[in-house]
Amino acid sequence: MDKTLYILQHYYDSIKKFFTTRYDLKEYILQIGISLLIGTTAGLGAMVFHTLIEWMRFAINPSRFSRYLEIPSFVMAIVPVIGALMIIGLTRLFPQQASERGVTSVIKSVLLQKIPIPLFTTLFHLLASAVTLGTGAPLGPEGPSAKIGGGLGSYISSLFRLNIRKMTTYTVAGAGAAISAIFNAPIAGVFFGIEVILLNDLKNESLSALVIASVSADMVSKAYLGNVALLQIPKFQVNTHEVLYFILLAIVCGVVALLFMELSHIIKKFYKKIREDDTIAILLPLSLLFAVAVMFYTDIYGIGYELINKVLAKEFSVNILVILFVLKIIFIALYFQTGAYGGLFAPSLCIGILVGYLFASMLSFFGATLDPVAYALIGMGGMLAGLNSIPITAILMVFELTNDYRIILPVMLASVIAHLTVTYYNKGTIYELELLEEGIDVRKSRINVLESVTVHSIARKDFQTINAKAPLKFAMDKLIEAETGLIVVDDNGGYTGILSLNEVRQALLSSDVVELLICQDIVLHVNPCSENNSAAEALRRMDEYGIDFLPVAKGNKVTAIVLYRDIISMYNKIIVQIEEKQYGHFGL
Amino acid sequence: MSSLLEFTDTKFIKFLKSKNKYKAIEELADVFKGTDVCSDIKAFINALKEREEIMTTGIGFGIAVPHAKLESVHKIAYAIGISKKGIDFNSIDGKPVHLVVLVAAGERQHKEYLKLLSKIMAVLKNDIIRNEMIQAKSTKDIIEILRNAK
Repeated sequence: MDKTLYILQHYYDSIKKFFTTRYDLKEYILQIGISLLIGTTAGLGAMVFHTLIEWMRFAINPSRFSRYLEIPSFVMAIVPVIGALMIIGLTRLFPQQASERGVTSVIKSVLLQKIPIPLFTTLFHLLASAVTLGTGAPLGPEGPSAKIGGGLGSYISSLFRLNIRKMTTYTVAGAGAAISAIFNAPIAGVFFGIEVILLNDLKNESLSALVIASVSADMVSKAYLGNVALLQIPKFQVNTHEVLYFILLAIVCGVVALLFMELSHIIKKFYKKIREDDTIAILLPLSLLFAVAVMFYTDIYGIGYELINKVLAKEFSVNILVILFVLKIIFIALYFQTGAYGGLFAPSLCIGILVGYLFASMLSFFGATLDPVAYALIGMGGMLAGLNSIPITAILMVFELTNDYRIILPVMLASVIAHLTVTYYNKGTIYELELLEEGIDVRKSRINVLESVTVHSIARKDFQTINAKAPLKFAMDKLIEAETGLIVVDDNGGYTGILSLNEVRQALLSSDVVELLICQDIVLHVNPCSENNSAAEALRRMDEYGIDFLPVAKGNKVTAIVLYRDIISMYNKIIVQIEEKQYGHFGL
Repeated sequence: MSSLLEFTDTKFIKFLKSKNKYKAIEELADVFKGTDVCSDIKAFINALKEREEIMTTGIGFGIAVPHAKLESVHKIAYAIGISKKGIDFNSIDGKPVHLVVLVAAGERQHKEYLKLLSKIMAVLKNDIIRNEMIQAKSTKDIIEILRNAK
């Protein structure tokens, strides 16, 4: 008996010792718990999002109404127009929340540590994206899902008062979890987090949180939706000796992805030209155009899953497929560049299916006997990888969507080759290039903290103006009063340039020169910045001109100025804040 | 900036025939034609005239300093025009102008432009140099005067 007690006592002591001496055990358990909580919440968020989209699609589906209520299809084609009006209204009502959209905004939050993402912003994107996708916009749910999941992850971690590094980890976990739930693909969710949100940088120990959150989100999705596959895949045949065709299709996918990007770029430039800061307004005429196209080709309506299933079921002729392919590509690019709330994953699946199916069908004309269903699935992987720069996620997603191991090898080939084709040509992934457009160069592994500061947040409204025709001697008093310089305007108050105290110092040395000059003679034609530019961009422009202040303009009117010393002061403040957040007093 | 001579040339010195200030500006600006100073003389002349319309560059003492900074000016330079009869420049002292110094600078040559103007003004303020230039018989005389000017 004593011996038994002794043994029990020994085990008890060992267990107690294990729990009390391993200081980090509590942290591990908490990490698992928080990951589970975030995964479950992100999964629920994704399901609410999914339900809202489905409900809207069911409630106002053009084909359903025209079938049961005998309403002509052209009347119901107006649904995207109603959707556009709602989206424009929401964007106008909440411009701040609307400005940060899509997958890139989540990447930016993680990179620049702009965390936590406010809960209201997350809820706004849930609603706005549901309206966009529920009213037939040809975009996908993954961008909004990542935004919703990442937002919930960052919000929950902020409730636990975690430090910034942990919050970043859980933001990534939340985004991956939501993708896992929305596509019913947990492994793809994990790799989405790594490849897209972390841009393949796993240094911040996110893997375990990502895996736990993605699996728990997928369990929520399965419990809610059942084990229903997103796509209905008919029987198909994969012949490994067709490897050359696989490679050829992969290159075709890469080229189509590049053409799509080029088209998007042209459309973006066009939109900026006609509505510089308000591209969402273009959604209204665009939705009218889309409505007309929907009247003739109903299958281009919506995310595209139904179209994918119809293509796989061989319901279309090659001619119709070509038309659908062209319309899909054009409208996806047109919608995406307005800033409508939706992503490119599902559209890439749809384009990939069309490309692969057409590839096999067209080669069949030349005597090759290729299974169009198999090639459609391979094209799906290739296009997903090429367009979104996610080769591993693409392989896993196609595998999880098809549940067929035979497709792995050709999809691996297609994904990697299409991805390499695109990155070789573009010298970067689509997300890296999007971030680069905003002045964030992640390819050099160097993130300037000032990229996260907008000019708006540090601009000063107190500035002085002077007419360009005014004699310089009249500007002298104003120049001395102004801390840095004056804004030079024309007779209509339009911006002309600046008079910098530093620049006119030379003129001040000679009173005769002052007598000779008018402000226009020594104005510096500095390119002003906008309120939405980053402080880093403003600093670059000041360095370029060698000046210590920069005008902030809207159109040709100056609304504020930003000072060099204010930017430096903000920089110092952020550095101190980051150090406090990373190593500061917030537990865990 | 060591010497005023660095920014001019005998080719850029002209004895003016025009009596009208705008014609005089055109006549003098033409000396830059075919040189590497300015690639668009027409735009340069327009800029000088527009500037003149806003406020006269006739600063008194028989001197005018028309000037412009322009994208098409590739090299900072100045030209000197001498009018024995005098030109009505609406000068601030109401007197006719005998010496026109026309300054051309590039859009971004801000500091060099101001330095050159200061240097020109400092030299022209000197009554002796100014009168010597107005009385000069040839372009070589002008160059010699500038060479000796400190």
